[in-house]
Amino acid sequence: MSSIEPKKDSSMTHTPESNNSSGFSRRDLLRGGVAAGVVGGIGLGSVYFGYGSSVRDPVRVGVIGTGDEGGVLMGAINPDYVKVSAIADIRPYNIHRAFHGDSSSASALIARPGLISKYGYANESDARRDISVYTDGYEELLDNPDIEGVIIALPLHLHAEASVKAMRKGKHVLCEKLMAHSVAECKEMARTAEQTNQLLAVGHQRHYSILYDNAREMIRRGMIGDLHHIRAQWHRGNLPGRDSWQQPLPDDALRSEMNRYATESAELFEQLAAEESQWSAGDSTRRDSAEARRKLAEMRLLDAEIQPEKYGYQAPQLTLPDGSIKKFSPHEELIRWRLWNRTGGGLMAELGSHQLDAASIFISALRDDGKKVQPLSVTGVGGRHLFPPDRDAADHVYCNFEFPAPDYESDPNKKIVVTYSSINGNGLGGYGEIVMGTKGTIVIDREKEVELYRKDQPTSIKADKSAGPVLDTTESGAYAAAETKATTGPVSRGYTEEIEHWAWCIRNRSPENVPRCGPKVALADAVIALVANKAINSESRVVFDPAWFDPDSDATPEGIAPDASRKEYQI
Amino acid sequence: MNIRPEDKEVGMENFYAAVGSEHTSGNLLAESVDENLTSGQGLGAKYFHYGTIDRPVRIGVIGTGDEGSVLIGALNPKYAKVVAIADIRPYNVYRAFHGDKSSANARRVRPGLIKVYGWPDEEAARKEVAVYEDGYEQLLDDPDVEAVIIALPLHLHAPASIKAMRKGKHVLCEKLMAHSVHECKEMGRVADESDKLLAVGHQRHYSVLYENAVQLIKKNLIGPIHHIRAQWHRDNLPGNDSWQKPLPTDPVMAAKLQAAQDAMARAQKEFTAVKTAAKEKIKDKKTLQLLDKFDRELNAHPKTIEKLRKELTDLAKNPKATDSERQKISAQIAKLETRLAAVNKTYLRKLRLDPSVARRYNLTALSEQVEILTEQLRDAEIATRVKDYGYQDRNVGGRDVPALEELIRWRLWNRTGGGLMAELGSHQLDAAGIFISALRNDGKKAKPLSVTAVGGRHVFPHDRDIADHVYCQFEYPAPDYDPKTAPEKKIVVSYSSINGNGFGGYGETVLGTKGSLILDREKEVLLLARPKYGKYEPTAVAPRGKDECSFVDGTSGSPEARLAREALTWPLSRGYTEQIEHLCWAIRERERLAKEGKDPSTLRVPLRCSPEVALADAVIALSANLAMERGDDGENPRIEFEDAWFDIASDETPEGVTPDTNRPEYL
Repeated sequence: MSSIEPKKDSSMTHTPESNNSSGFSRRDLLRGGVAAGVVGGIGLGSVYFGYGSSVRDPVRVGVIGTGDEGGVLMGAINPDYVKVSAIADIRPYNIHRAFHGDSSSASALIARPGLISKYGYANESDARRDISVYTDGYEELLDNPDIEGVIIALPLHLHAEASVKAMRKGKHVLCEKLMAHSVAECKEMARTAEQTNQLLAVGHQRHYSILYDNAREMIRRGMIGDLHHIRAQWHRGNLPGRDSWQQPLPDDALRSEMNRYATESAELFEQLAAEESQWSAGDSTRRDSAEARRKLAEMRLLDAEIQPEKYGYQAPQLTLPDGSIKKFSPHEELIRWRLWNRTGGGLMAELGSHQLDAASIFISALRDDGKKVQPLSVTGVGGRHLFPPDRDAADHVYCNFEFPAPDYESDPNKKIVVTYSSINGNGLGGYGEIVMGTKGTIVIDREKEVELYRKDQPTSIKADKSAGPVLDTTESGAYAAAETKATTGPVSRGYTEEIEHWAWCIRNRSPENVPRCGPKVALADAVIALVANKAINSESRVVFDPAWFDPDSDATPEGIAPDASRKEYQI
Repeated sequence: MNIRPEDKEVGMENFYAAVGSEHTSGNLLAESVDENLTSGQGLGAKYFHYGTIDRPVRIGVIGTGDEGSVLIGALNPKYAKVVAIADIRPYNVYRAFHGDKSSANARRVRPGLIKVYGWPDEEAARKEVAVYEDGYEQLLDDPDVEAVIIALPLHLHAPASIKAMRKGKHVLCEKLMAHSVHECKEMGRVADESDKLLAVGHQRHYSVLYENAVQLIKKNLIGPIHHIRAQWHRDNLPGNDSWQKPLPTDPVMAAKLQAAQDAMARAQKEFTAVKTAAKEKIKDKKTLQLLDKFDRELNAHPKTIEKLRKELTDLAKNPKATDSERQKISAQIAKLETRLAAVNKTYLRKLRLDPSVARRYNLTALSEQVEILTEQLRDAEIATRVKDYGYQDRNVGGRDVPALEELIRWRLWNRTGGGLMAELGSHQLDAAGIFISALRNDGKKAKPLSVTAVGGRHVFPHDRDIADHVYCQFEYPAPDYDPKTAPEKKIVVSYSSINGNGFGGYGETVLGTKGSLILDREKEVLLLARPKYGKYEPTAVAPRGKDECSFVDGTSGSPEARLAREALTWPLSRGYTEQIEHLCWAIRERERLAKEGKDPSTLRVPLRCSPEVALADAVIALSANLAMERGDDGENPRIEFEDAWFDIASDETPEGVTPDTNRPEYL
């Protein structure tokens, strides 16, 4: 795969006199990147990552799992590359969302607009004429000969099974991250991709973020000197009673909530009707809001109809400190799968894996051999520090990864530590990565903004705000952020590009045309996240075995040898 | 990831509004502004409830290097009178008197005794201050000394403190308390046995800013704390490391002095040429005559001053010389110097030269540079003698490290220092412990449960033993933690201290479920309630229930906030002044109690960084180092703390060495 070289700029000498140009020569590209994010699929990703700006005809795709993440992916689809021909989900609420989008909040509706809006259908029945809907598992979807590829956004424990089966049925696969629930499973997926000659991509979208690629390029060019520390975090304000991973269950509580909103809505309606002359916009909004909440609860309650046990979901249980057992329903495991170890991988899998992926990309940028560097060791602590016993995933995790610096082989002291934390209860600082070098610092904030701080340029460059994003330079060590923001508009986080590229590789099969986050890269990301969990759970440092990163080796951190002929994978 | 400038402004204003409120500070701030109290002028006494004293305590300062000089600079003469100093390095003795002139900031924090006590010169100062350059033993025998401030390299804290207490001196020892936990316990035990006051210099215990932040936490304003992140990141790089002080034996230093002298001579010559040229343009006879007279004076007075100084030096060696003889000569020198300054000033005006011309040549700065380098090079005099004080020649990474280097760069070696955790981390973990303990009902200081640490010499070459990057996580018990019923309720404190990149500087970020506190460089505090719709809003505080407060909507620029901003604006004491004031007060208070026949150990206001508190801080820092060492040895870099380590009376220590106050070093 070829990647476009940035415009050469002779004034990149980083002297204070050339301040006006050290707003970085890729300024224009970056500016364009934002435009691409705004407009969606006008080809900047293709220019930047070196794939074609269109495919002959859009790849016919089935989306398996149309929940939170599946909804985001559908929202990011560029219809020029991909046509959604089928969807599969056992949850009626998710099928509803697949078509109508997520109306739980204004921002949710932007991220998850739904297929009707995405493809311009008149209504759901219009859309259903085009799109097959499977509600009894995904097996039938895999048998649909019209489908060329599948996007898998199921709970983590189903990634391997669904991906392996799909490839064996002749489908290309774009599987959400984390690649799988265990390293053995990841290797099974990688081996199956090899055996079946299907394309397998994993959705670590930072591989397709122009912002991240810019940051990597700055590091590669030595703009921050030798990288010696990265701090990454993803902190969220979730608290007991208001946790984004603890979605409402279709239970009596939700039913009475629905009734409450129904009453409120009806009362407001009557009131408004009685006082017609005094209607205000605010009154209407309150009524609309109550009605929207009622509708949302109603849709969520549809999930009460299904039997999760039929699809392998179990009733989670927790042993409390006093020895008693607390039991939960199978619906709990399905709907809140991120909270349970059997179905999810916790904060490291859901959030940390992206950022460690980015960290290793940055660390690798300074290597001459072009190899992606793997960590040496990880230590960690964490636990359920804040939430009551309503999950077995930790709600706070902290870890330190030791990576080899480029000169590690000649001097084993030369290491780069990546510290990572992901917590609930306080979202100060949000999420992002701070990359520290001997000459400067790069701050990447929420996949949206990049700021560059240089030690040798103590004065801040006035960035051209009106023209949109540029990179800013200011003193190192400054507490306050750069004087101007690196970006102001919405930036594509890479979802659109990762799907475009996958589709383009499907249409243009050749050994060079492979997704940027293929099986081997995704395996490494999974090893890092899963081994961090192991370190946290065992309260001890884990030293990475290079064989864990090799799909062909049978070595895994969990000690289970991969076996692609397991019965779960039989079709 | 970064605090945005707009959020920073909101956060600062919120903090001032919160601490200015009567609901949190109980009017303490308002009163201190009304009474015009500042650091060294009563603020500490008011905040920390100790009183004033009528007779300053006579203090000996042992170790007048970087840190000793900071403490000298922070002294409040109303509480402490320095009557003796001890240091084996000539450069440090020079700095004790004249301060550190290496930068504007150094000059501010290390002004030197002459400035602190308003003496005219070193000669006058030396009449009041005994100087011991051959170790500190003689200082301890000086009956005029009531208490000592110890700011020696870490490995000497225990022997010096213990000897001092056994010689009847009260002690303020710089942090870290000691080089090992058993030494800390030995110090604590000797303080008890000898009935002496022992305080350790973790100055955050006396920071008004931190005290205010703690009040907010106590009022449950930010809710239960569930994470603290602290860091101290510095820009130091190979060739430019604040801990790798220049060595007087390094030929580069001599060359630097030569260069400074050359620059000085060149500047003088050029300045003279400029003045000559200007003089040639002057036609007025009267002015010319005056200028000629000035020329003669400018030529003659420096020579006379030099001669007089030599006489003074000779007199100092002459036991028969009287004070009045010396005073006479000192006065002559002062008179001539004043005259010279006046002549120089008038001279330029008479030449019709702009004052900026003199600034361009900056002869004062150049001569100071020569002075500093000359004084630094004088440490070469003790190059062999340092071994008499226990410093050793070593070999590190195939390079010979002479004993003098071990002394001057003591922070870089494991034998003499404790690395980043001891020097920097200990302060911040101390603060974290205070914050976490603020919400406890039992009033006890919370002890950590475990520490996991990694680190190494990631940036520097093998020119030191210590790690230049350290990262650790401490698990602390939350107030509702219980090993049996609630074993998961923990608070993790993440700490990192690195070199090579100072991004973010140093500080502590305290996260609660209702809000956050950010303490930045001991200077500023930001307070942020949970954001509304992703945005941090201006807040005020309102009482909630009996003892609590909560956030309410606020506006910027409230009177409370303005008042608090006035009271707490930098330059704000970091607590050095107050910790010394408190110790001095305690010494006088004990005397008073004894005189009244009361138990002197029942101080109305006990010292805030007592042996027990300081031991805990040392256990934390040293165990983190121990965890890192275990990692280096291929073991699990995690240590679980034992309660007994924190107990002075117990013989248990993390290093496995039993405390013994009868060691030969202490006799």
